[in-house]
Amino acid sequence: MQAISMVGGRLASAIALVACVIVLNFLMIHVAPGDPASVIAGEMGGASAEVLAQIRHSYGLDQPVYVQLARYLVKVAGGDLGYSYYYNVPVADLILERLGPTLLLLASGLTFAIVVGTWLGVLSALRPNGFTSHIITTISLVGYSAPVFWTGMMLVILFGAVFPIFPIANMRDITVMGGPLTRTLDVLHHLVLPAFTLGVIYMAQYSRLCRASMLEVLKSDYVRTARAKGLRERVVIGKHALRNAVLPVITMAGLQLGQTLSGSVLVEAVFNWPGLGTLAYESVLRRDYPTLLGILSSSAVMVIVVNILTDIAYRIVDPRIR
Amino acid sequence: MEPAILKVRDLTVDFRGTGKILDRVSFDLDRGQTIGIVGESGCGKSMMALSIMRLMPSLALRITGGRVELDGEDLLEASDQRMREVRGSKAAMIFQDPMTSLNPLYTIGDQIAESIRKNGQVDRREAMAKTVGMLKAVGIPDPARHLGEYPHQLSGGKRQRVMIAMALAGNPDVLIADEPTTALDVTVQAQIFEQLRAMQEKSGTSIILITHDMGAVAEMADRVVVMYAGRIVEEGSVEDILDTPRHPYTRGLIACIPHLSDEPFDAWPLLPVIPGAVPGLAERQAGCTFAPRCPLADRHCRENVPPLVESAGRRIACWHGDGDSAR
Amino acid sequence: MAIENLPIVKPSSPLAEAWSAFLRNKASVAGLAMMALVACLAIFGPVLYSVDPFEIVGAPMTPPWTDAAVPLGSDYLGRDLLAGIVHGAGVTLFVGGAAALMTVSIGIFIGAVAGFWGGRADRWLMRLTEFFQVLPPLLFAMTLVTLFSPSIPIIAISIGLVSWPATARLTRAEFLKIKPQGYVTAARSNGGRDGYIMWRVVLPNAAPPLIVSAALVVGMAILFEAGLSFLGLGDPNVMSWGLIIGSNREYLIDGWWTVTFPGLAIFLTVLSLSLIGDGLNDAFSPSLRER
Repeated sequence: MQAISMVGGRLASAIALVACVIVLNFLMIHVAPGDPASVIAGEMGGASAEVLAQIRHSYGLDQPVYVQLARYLVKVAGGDLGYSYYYNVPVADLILERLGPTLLLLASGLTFAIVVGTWLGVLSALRPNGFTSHIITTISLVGYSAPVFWTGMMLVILFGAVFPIFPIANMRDITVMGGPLTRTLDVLHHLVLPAFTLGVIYMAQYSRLCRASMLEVLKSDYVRTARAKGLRERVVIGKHALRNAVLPVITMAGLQLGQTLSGSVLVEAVFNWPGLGTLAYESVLRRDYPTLLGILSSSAVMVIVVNILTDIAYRIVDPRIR
Repeated sequence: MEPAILKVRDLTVDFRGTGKILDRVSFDLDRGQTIGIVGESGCGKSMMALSIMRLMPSLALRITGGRVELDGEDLLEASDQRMREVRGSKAAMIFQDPMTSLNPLYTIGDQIAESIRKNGQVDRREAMAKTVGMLKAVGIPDPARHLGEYPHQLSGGKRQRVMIAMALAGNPDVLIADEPTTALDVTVQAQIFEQLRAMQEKSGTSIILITHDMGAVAEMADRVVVMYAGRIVEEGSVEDILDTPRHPYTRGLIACIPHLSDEPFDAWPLLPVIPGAVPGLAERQAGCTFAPRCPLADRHCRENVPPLVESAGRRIACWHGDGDSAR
Repeated sequence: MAIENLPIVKPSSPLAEAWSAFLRNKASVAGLAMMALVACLAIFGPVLYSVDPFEIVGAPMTPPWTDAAVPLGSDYLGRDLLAGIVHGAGVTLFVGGAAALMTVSIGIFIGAVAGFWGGRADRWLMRLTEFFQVLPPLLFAMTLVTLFSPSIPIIAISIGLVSWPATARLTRAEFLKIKPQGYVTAARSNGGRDGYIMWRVVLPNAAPPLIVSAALVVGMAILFEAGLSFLGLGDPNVMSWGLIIGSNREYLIDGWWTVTFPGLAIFLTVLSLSLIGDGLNDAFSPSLRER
């Protein structure tokens, strides 16, 4: 019962947040220099006089501001994120089309970062002054300090010119024929470099976090108890220590989705990955404001949803929070 | 069959060149007996327990000499794998703070069952059934309900009982209890000792009780070992030590126990203290380590370490051996 | 030991102790040295090497170390890469520093007020923080820069607006930890005004993790600015390292130097800041953990 009211509370504040995001969108349209109608139309889109008049009418731009805001909220709540005059399709459709590849990239990048980061962190905590530990610390410093697009580009040079074993652009090779399995493998093949590039930054952070966390956990009393019970070292580390050590990594990963989304914009640009990031980039170039704003708000909503999910996941893993 | 299940001989633990945490400690633990190890913080009693179990907390602490014979087998010579087998099944340990000594992310049922399964080939269901049995045996009412609970949901006393259950699940010959009640309320302390005694009677486990509380010793122990600055200074049966303590340190410890008096309040004597503090490793001087705080110490004491001398079932390390002020 | 013969030892402040601990750490000193080099490059570089990064001085796509006019090679238009790097240092440091300043100012202010006063102020400020944290940083900055204009002030403001929440949370956590301490209560019961207590009593004690975080914030701001310039959203009148990389994107396989050198410059600058931040963290931890 308590759990349901807690989730209910989170949902309510999530909805409030989403509403704020939509209001922010509204504000940006109206605060930006220039005529709101041309912002809504996008500067390079169909900015003919009759289209602008149409927009003014349907958005009620001559109405008082609060009426406009209400109408805007209703529009967005109904799923209408505007219209891209550049592509000539509703923004919502555009976003849905590009959502899948971005989610795929995000999921694989983050999974790589968490799994490899945790593993490296544990390794370096088990031998804190060893050679391996120093190498891992160095790798993590490098991964953290290098701009993500530059890392991607270095990989493109490496795998484009020197070792051409991974494709360096796009999500698919359109010349590949074959059934669903072949096509899936093709996508995965193309996924390797972008996912690695995106994940490296976070892998660096998580390995350091996990190392510190593991070092603390190894000093704890319950690890001592586990050893006193005569359990094998593998069980002591892998079962008793690891689960406790990994908690901060999961928390951090959940909190960083917004940044990861941003990172994916740059990675998609480098690898020409057909996701929301490239769409955003193209919208910027084409002054397609509706699409850009639509991407901004839907990404924010994604972050809110993931935050709730992370919260739930955390409660499942750590019984003390319930 | 030998009466002694555990024989510790000349156990010495060194702290990376700075000094000896334990200096040639020797004692016997007989089957079914309880031996109480007393001393102030810093005297090395916890380190002795960890040395027997070979759970040294850091690489700076090394066992540099001695033998620890458990049921005829020298644990100090055992391989890491053999030690793992021994832990939990022949020798078990419980610690001071049950809150931090239990893994917060696993249920107590899981943690007890883990001990049970480590010590025998039982499947999950059987292990759970035995866990319920163990919980009942340590005096936790309605045990089945607690199986799925987490450590933070239980009270301190219950948590310590869980620790006892985990330790005794493998039917060890020796149980080492390192300050098992220090973190608990006084009322709960008595219950825990009662529980330990009951289980000892049933299973014949020998217990090493490490404590700074003379009252606990009086309740639980058959024999007492008094330690100071890494050395044993006195040993004897609990009656001998409590009634006729001979070493000045033992006398000081017993005199410090507050007790009620029939005198009116303003005639109560001042609570005696042992002046000074246990010296750190670097501060220990030649001669008897207790000399700086001892009311009987003379020049001979400060220059010569008194040997541990045995007589009439007792041992004492003091130049003023029979407790008289003149030698 | 007669008291006159005891050596005179001046007690050192925690700050001085932390500083000497910092200097003992080789990695931190290396970071500091690298940072100093970058700063020198930014200040003196354009004076000593005055080639205009926007001027076409050679053949396009000249490899490095082949033509004395373009020592590090030239980009796709024939502009000098070395000039770009030299002139870009100042931009990078300026925007990074300005954005970090904004981030830290807003973040510390909001976090301090929320952590110190608590109650309703805290709740509302935390909602504000949560709102800004939900917006994906780069996308938001992209939107702002696109809607307004890609000038340096707008860029610095955008970066500041998306980065302050993390600093605010950190500050708030520190204030929550420090406020119940004895010395704070003592100061308040002695009649200190809230403002004085917050800034002169609590904040100095909250400073260590905030200083560490500030070093890392500058690094993040530099990466952020590089990302925006890479996407073409930087100030087009200023040659920043990200802009060089972004404009040479399509030529990267044939002209690896156009992308590698500017990127290396960014990497080394941010690396030095990370090393400094790490060093500060280690230097502060043992002595100043108990506040």
